[in-house]
Amino acid sequence: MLRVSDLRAGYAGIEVLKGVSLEVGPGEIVALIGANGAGKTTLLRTISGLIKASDGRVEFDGADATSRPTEALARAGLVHVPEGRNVFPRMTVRENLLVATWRRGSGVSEDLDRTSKLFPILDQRRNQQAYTLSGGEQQMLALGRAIMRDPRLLMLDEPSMGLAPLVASEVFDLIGKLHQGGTPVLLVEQNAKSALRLASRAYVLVNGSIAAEGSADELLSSDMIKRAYLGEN
Amino acid sequence: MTQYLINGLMLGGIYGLMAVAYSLVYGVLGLVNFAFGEIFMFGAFIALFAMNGQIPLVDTSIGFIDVGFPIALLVGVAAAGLLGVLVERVAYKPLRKAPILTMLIATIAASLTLRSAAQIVFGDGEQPFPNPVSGNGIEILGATVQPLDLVIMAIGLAVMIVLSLGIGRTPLGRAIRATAQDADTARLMGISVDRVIVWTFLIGSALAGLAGILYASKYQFVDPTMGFVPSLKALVAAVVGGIGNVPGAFVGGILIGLIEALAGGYIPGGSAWRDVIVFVALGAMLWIRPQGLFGVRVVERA
Amino acid sequence: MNQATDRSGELAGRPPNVVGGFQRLLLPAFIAVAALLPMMITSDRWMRVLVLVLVYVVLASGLNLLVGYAGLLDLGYIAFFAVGAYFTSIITVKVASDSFGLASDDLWWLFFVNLALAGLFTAGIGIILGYPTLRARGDYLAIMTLAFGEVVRLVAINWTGLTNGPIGIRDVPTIQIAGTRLLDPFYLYYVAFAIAAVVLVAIYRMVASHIGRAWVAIREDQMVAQCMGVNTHRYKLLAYASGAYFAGTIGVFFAHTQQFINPDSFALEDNLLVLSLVILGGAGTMWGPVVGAMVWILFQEWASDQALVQDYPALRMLALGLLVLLVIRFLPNGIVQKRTRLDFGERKWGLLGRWRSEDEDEEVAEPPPARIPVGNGPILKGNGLSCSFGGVKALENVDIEVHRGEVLGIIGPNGAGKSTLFNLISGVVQRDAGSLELDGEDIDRLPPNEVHGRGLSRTFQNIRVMSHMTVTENLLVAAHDQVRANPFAVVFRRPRVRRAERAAQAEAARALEFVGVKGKEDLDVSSLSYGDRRRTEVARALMGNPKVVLLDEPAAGMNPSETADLGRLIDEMKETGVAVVLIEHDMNMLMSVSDRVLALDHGVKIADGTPAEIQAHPEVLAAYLGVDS
Repeated sequence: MLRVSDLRAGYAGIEVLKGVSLEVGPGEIVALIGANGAGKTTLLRTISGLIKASDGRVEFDGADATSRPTEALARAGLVHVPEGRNVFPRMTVRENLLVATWRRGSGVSEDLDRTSKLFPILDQRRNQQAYTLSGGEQQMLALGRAIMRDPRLLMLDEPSMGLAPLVASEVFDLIGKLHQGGTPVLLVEQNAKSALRLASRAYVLVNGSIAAEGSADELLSSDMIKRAYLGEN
Repeated sequence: MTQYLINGLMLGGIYGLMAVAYSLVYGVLGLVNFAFGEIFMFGAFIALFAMNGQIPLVDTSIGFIDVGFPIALLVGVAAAGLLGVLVERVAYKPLRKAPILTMLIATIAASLTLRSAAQIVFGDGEQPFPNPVSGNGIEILGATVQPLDLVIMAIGLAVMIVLSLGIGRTPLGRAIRATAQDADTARLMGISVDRVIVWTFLIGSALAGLAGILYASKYQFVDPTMGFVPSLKALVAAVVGGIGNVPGAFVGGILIGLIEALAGGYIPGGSAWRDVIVFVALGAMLWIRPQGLFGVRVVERA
Repeated sequence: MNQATDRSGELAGRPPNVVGGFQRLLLPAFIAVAALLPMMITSDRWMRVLVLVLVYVVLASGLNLLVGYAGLLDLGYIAFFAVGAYFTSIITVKVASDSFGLASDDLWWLFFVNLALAGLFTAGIGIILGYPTLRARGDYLAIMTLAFGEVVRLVAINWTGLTNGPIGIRDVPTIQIAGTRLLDPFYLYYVAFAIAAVVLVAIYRMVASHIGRAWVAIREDQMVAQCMGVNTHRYKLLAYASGAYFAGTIGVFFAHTQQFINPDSFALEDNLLVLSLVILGGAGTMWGPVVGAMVWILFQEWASDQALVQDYPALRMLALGLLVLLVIRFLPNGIVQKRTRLDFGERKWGLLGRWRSEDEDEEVAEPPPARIPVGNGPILKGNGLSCSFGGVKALENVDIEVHRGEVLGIIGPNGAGKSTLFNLISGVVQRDAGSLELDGEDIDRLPPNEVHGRGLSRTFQNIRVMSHMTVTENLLVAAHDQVRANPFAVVFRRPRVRRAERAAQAEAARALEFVGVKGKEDLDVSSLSYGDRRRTEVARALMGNPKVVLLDEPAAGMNPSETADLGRLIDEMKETGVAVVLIEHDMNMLMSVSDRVLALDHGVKIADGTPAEIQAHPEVLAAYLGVDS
């Protein structure tokens, strides 16, 4: 579904991604974990086109996506939910959801219903301005908005960041439900354990390169992540 | 007093339309488009030519084109809109990755270029612009209101209502607002930011052109340099109302119009000093509350 | 705004002006030509054109200080020109002649007096008009200056008692020297030439000093300029005052040569014209405005002879507008590609450089005395630091303590508040609660430039060196506190100023050697490798012998060997007695170099101890890896 080969990219003169390769197959939920500064956000931004790759290739749904403009990729179904959620603060919940239906074909009202059922809080608050929502609610709005874009693959950047543990776990549950609906997910997280519990496979990114990959269980039980995050003793 | 209020409202409506234009473009691009004054002027001229059936630089008059004011208005507005988009594509778009000061200078240079071109093609100096609405003044509360004033206020109000509905409820309006709040995330949601920019310039320039035509109707003249002072005041209005905030800008416009009319009326030797008052108001606003009356405080990136 | 592009305040970038063999001849040759040219011109008309060129050279050079160097887009600059012209006209005609009935022939000396005074008066106006714009951003500043310029023009039109309103002031006497009226443009040229020469030398001296560096720093990255010790408000006002000074001075000349001024002489279009000359010639260079003025005025004069232009005079402005649009698109730096050095650098030639050979006899400058910290306690101490943005608590009740010669590492997940802590300590952000002491002194309400002055400096996450300055110039900005002097001392290059500058240069050389950047002192920082740029930033933070240095993710983007070098560098810094506070994501490096580590999460301190303790601390592990449920 999504295949990244040997991707190199950076900004302000630094090369942040030093040849990253990964894959997300149909129906999979794959985690990408690593400490901050490793390049996780840069990777997602390069895949979705906000950052220009200096080398390497991105393939989405069988077609080359390396230099396609961001909005075209989003319309084709590669939906990136950015770090920090980035809801449009001065638009209502409903407008935030509708904005993502720009040049979309059919199915808008069905998906609107689907989001109301998945996120009842959003339904309650549908005419409130987005900046009044709590962190957790904003994350749900961001997810709902992603659904409205009719995604064929979701890329989520640190959905639990800044959220209290209880709220974070609610969010992870919701992500699980989305995935069960059939949408493949690439989940980028710093919170390794929660991500690994949700995912079937995972990659570990350290300093711009993939340091390890394998099944989520393998990685959960190994010592490798601790060292990747907090360094050697 | 009522007379001044009426004048102020009418003038304010015109400034308001232009202020909205500035706000729209600023919201989406973070740029003050100094060329709007010339687009204001251009709209007025095109409307004039439509009404007179002339084509500039050519001495003949095409007799069969003898359109009434409403058609001329539409033609002028459309022409202004297109000119604005043209300037954006040719002069501003290539500079999108340049520092903001460079883009500001581009708008200033564009303004100069358009003004000079108008002086050449349309002829330097004033030309008369007919008052499209004939009829006697109506007495309201001790003031004489010209039918033209009512027409101007009505058009201004109608346009603002349509615009507010459009920005509030249509997909394009949402896309514009989203882009103004967060262009990158808008892209992630599938919005073509470039297209939004074109539409913003189209709408903004059309508004500026409309303002120019209404202004010309009221003061009954056009000239290539007519855009500078009104556009500066409209800019002041946009800043006072909160640049980037569309309804706020319109309110700012009304406010500036009222200040100008009242100052002109009440301060001795007043009409000479009223412009100064307007600019002092700007200084005061920027000092006390830089984000304007309705604007949102933009946190400077540390 | 939210464009994902580089939006620093600069207008252009270029390699530094390296004065090579050919260019050494250029200045004297140019001066010679300019001095001898009038002998070769026989037509009065072209002589007047040359005088006009000189007037615009001065105007453009003055505006260049604001727009090109300091990055302040002043669209109302001509107002200063008007103020100078009106100043002298009012004094000479209205006061002296009309009120006191003195004959203008007796007042010939007034021209020279006014020439000196008008500049100062106009500078004062410049400060008044500039003050409200201090906190304004680029576009707001442009609007405000445009409005203020208009206000001056409107005052000129409407305050008829003072300015005669639209009629203007007539019979402004010509320039006379001891009874001889200088009516011939030939002599006017030399007066203008003298004024222009003095102005250009003064500008040169200001630019190639800490003042020029402060201005460029403000243009490039205002926040970092403050963190390096520059009082940005003061230097912006200085830019306004200087630009106004020069415009006012040439305004006096203008009034006495035209012998008549009215508000139309100072129209909005003149603002655009002068601005275009600066952009065309090259903003931020010495010669740019000169070239721009020459090229345009001469072109314009030639053009007015052409029949087409005589039919359509607006063609000239049209050409100017199009030219500016083309230049900013295709030649964004303008015609002149080389800028002046912003330091006292090597000058072996001629008129402007003779001071250098005098100085060679002086001793090599002593290094500035090491800052001997006072007292025994921690050198940096923060208690209960809290701060919030827009309702979000970024930091809550954080305590921090660092000792002399110690390295404190700070870790925490994304959004933990680490950079906020640095911003708070360095004064970029004000705290809501808590106290902060540096070497026993309270620093918690100080602005960043004063915090720097007390001995605390920092680097930044995204390496914020000023791209359009050389390595040395970047370092010298941080020596601002030590070389500061008033503008007059700078223009006259007093010995104290020269000594301070040389001392700062010596210190910069030493700092560069310490961090390992060799042989690149005169290159533009933008041409350096990433590693060298980072090292330059660290060297900059070492200027002025700080007591505490904050390093914000210095190893970001570095490969393992560069990271190891950086670790060694930090060790060496430690040995000189500097205290280092380090934010870093490369855990191996941070843990190996730190004496103690402080862990933050969600704005709160969750642990504090040795690296080994932190690596095993359960809350830290939980913060990063998540909780076992």
